[in-house]
Amino acid sequence: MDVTGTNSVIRLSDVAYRFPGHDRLTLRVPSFSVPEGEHTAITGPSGCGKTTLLRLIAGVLVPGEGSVQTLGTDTTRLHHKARSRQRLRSIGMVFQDFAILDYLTAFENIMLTARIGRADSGSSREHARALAERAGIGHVLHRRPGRLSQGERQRVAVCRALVTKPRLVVCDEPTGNLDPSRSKAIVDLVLAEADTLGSTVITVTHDQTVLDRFDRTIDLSEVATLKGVDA
Amino acid sequence: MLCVCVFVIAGLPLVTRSVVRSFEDSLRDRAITVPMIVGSAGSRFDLVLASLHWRASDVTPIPLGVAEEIRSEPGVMAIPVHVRFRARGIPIAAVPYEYFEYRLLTPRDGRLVAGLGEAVLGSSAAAELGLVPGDELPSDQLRSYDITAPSAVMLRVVGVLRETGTADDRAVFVDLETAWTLEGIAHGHEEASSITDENKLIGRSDDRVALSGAVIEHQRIDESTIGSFHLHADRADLPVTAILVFPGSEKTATLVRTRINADPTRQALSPSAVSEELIGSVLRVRRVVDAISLVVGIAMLGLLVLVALLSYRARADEVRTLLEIGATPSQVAALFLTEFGGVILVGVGAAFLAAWALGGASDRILTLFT
Repeated sequence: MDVTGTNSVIRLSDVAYRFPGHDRLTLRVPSFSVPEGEHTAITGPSGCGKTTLLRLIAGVLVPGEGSVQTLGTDTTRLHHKARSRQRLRSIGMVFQDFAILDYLTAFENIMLTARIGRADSGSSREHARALAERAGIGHVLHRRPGRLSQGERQRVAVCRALVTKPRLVVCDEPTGNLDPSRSKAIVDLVLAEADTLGSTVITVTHDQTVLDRFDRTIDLSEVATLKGVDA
Repeated sequence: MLCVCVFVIAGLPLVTRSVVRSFEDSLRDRAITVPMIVGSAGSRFDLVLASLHWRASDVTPIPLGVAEEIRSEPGVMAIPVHVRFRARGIPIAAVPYEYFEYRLLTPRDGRLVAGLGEAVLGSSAAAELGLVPGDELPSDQLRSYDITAPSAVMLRVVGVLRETGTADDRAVFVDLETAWTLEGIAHGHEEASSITDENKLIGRSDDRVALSGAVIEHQRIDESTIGSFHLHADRADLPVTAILVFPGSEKTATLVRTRINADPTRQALSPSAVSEELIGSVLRVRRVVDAISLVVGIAMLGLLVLVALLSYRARADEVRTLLEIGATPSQVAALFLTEFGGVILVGVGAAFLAAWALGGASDRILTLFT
């Protein structure tokens, strides 16, 4: 396991991100890296900056200071279009609130990333169906989110993140409101697919029951500080 | 809802223009084919619409004898027409055989009208009624609650005309005698001389038999009853709605016009002039409709913009998701514009479709709203 950053997929150095609308509130990450192929869980109390860290890694946010190298590229130097392109091609994202579009079917939601990235081919559709079958939602692909259970919606979100065979999978509370057995099933699904693809996984979670599934668990307070919080 | 807004914005002016243009064309095309119409004094619009567009109305009839008077001028053709009745809602146009010749109306199926009780249908009328030669068609009862009114007569369909794209397509053509039968002026019943039932007789002399109302008139004109039909009036006094006049020269036209207009109960008019007058009125109405359309359009446009803005705000989460997945702002904008464009396309498409459909039905609209 490489934690020094020499063969890292993610490497943050002297990062300072100031939250918009909160002049004094700053997330500082002196040094943080994740080696290729590792499955990392990040824990920490609410509001400590876990989601912000993930968004910095994914290139959704850009820090005011420091550098964020993701998949070998310093995203802080990239134009927002290039960062978007990198996310589409190489990063799969699972959101805290699933972020499934209500007017699309489960299958269309899974294919959304591929469609936006203009990678909607016959083989990607086949891959999406196979992925959905393995996730146990092959029978509900024609349904809209309103007719899916919480667990099914979550699995749709996971499949959407994996459909483009990303090198990096970023998950924000993927087990959200699920019960322990379903939480483990979701995490196992993500990690199994990531293993198949050789992808790196970084996950923010509060769920203590799934931590043993990961190669490494990091408490965010060990690698980052949030300054300017009113006491 | 948005499609309806777009449909209203685009549809109102489009439909109005299409209908008015078809209306103008229909009126002008029909009017220029007949140089003069003679009828009773009264509404010139009603007279033109009744005699050219078969709008069954209560235009006061004139005697058939007027047609004979007009024909007495050298080189004049006069075609009497009578339009008062309907059959299942379709106007019954009573015309002589010359009308078919003049309009070049030929049968698509069957043959033209040859006698009493026969009817030939315009192509649209046949399609609307679902009738073919050999079928029967009852005339509509003129006054349902008046037992003294003439009863309905069963017409025999003997032909269907080829489509002409004019008001002739939606008419039931019969001969004038059949129309007078519908008026109750001509009728058929059992042979008077053979009636012995005292209830049916008012009086009997050597050469006359007076029948009571108990005698039942024939409602079906067929081989067994046609011989009993007869007129109870002088032919010259029989009513017609109008006479289509085709003077051989300008001089003859002036003579006919002068003679007819000398009688205050009659009028001779130029259908083209009346049609232009009618079109002028319609164009004035169209300008009002255009102004209303503009106001409605502006209001609807405001509503559209408001809905678009609210929709964008309501879908902020969706936008965030798309951006975080990796969509560029231009891709998100394109997605929304595509959706909006689809709505506009459907609305405008529906508006064009409505304009086209209603424009094609202008003859029908003409008879409904004029």
